[in-house]
Amino acid sequence: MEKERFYTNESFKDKHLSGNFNDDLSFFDSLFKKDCTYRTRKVKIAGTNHLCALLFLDGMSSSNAVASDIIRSVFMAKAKKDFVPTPEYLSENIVYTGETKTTSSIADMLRAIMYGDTVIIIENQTSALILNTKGFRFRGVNEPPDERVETGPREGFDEVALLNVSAIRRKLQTPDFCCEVLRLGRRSDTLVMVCYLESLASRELVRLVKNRIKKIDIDGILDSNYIAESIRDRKFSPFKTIGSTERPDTVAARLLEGRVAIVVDGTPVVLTAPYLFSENFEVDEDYYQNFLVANIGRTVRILCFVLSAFAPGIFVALSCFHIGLLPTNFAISLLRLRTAVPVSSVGECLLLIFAFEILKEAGARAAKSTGQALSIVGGLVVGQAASEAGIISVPMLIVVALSCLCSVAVPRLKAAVFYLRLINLLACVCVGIVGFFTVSVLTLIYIFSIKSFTADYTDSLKKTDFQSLKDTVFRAPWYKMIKRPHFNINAKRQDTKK
Amino acid sequence: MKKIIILFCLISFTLCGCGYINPDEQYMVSAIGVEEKGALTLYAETVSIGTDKSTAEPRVFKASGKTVKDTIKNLQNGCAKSLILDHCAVIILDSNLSNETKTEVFSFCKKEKSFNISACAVKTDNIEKLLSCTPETATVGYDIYGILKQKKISKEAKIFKGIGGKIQLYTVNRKNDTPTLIYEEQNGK
Repeated sequence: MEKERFYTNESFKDKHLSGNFNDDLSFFDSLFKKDCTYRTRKVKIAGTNHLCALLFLDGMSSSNAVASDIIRSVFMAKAKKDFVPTPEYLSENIVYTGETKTTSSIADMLRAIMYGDTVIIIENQTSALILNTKGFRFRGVNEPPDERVETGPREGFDEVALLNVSAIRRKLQTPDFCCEVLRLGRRSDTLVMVCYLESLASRELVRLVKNRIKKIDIDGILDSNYIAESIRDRKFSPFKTIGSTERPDTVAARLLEGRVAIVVDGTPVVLTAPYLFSENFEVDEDYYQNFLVANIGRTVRILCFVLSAFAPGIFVALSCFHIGLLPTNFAISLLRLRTAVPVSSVGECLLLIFAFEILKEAGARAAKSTGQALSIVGGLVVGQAASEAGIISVPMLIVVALSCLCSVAVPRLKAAVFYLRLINLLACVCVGIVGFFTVSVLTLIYIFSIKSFTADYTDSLKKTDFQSLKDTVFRAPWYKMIKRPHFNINAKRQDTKK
Repeated sequence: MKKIIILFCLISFTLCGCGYINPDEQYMVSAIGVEEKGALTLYAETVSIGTDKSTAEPRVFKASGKTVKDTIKNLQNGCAKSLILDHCAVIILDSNLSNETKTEVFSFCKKEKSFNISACAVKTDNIEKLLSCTPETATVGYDIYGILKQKKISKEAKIFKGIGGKIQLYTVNRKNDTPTLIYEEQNGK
């Protein structure tokens, strides 16, 4: 237990430099004794008899910055012999580095070293200088593969939190933009930033988000989902109650609605809260093209959700319970195509649903080069061959394929769609079309009962006036989008025309 | 409480699956013929799928009984699959059928919850002969329904009329191996 406490950054929060140069250096050496990337460089400050030591990690720090901005400047310093250099003096008169910080806390120094900064310890000084020399490699700005758009900005986040915040900041050039830093993960000590616009986000919301994040006690945070799962409402719900995106423009838009963004270092996925049900059907492109065009896509997505979740169940209910509701010719065709199929309707439906899930999973895990072959094999084997062999009937194949295809159109609801599809199928197998009505009513009740942070999940559907519904089942033209969502309690800023 | 409700729902759902029948385990009845020769005889013309699965052809089942309900029960007992009346298009009544039996047949059709509400009634001189025609559609029953619809008289022949509505019984007989409506000769329409 003692050993574990010792190896977390937090355990050093009360520890400070002793002022004994050699002792302090050997302390750091002992901490990094098994880290081959740890580097120490002793340099004599020119003009004085004092030594200073540069502590940094190879690969994390820019060797150019260390050499030219620090070592070179220290060598070229023009100080008097009897002068005692302090970290402040070094910062103000010698080093060229843009960002510097003086600290005596060992925890701060460790965090700085491990995030690519360089720490300068000076002889007989109880404080050290932290210099920004970050030089680790990052992926760069790419368009997120899952959030591609035809029109509109194409930049996406990468894995560096600071750069991600700068990408948001570039879109919101206002001092109203707040970015609070938190550290999370006992061993990973991950940088987590909570961003919001002070005049728009309610204090209650910001406090709630920060409190929930602070309560997380985990070894490491490697992705924002670690946080999302811990802080979201209705933790076991298949419906998303916290937003996630890889696009800076989406985050900026969410912040402008009074939401809070959580940027986590090491992942391009930024979380936003609160998250509303209607957001499941929104894509960035809806806002970057004419509202008439955008509304077609949005309506299709809503239809896709309904079809994807309920189509297999309804089809089984109609064909096995209420065949009289089908047109006679269709019923005869169904009869003809079902003849000699060895599996029951519900069996073949389940078989096809799981076959699709297998194909999807295999496609996601397969290398790009095998992806195409996989889709051909999947399409031919599962589709054509299985129906020709009489294992499954063609109508069921069409219904399940349509349902699965529709689920791709609403990726944010994939978990909800999957479970709803199974529950609805089960209910329809038990009581026919009554099962469908029961499940759909219960689903509606459930959706309306969900809360996301301070907002109702169906916040935008609470009222039926135009301003409430302006960005739900349809998107109104921009000049008509006057008010912000209801959960934004800043009444003075509701009117965007001001 | 929550758990009890969930448990109740689950149990009640599992007890309700009795109505589930796979489409291929059903015989879709397209026409019912009723004649009275001593006992009540019922013919059920169903849609049967050929062995090559590409064609739908008629198959006629026959059973006798005292009442319509009994006869239907006997018909069902003689079939390997469930008989479903949802798509029954025509009731073919024998020309010599007594009024009581006609009333019994219509009352059965109206009481049977799954019976097709757009079904029509016609009369014929020989049910067996009529049902042995070679159909143009899937079955003779659908052929007869098609003729009624084409002549725009299907509404008049509908069993499910409003209160006080009277069913017009048209005669359909076999002629040249096809069902033929013969009201023109009879009524001079």
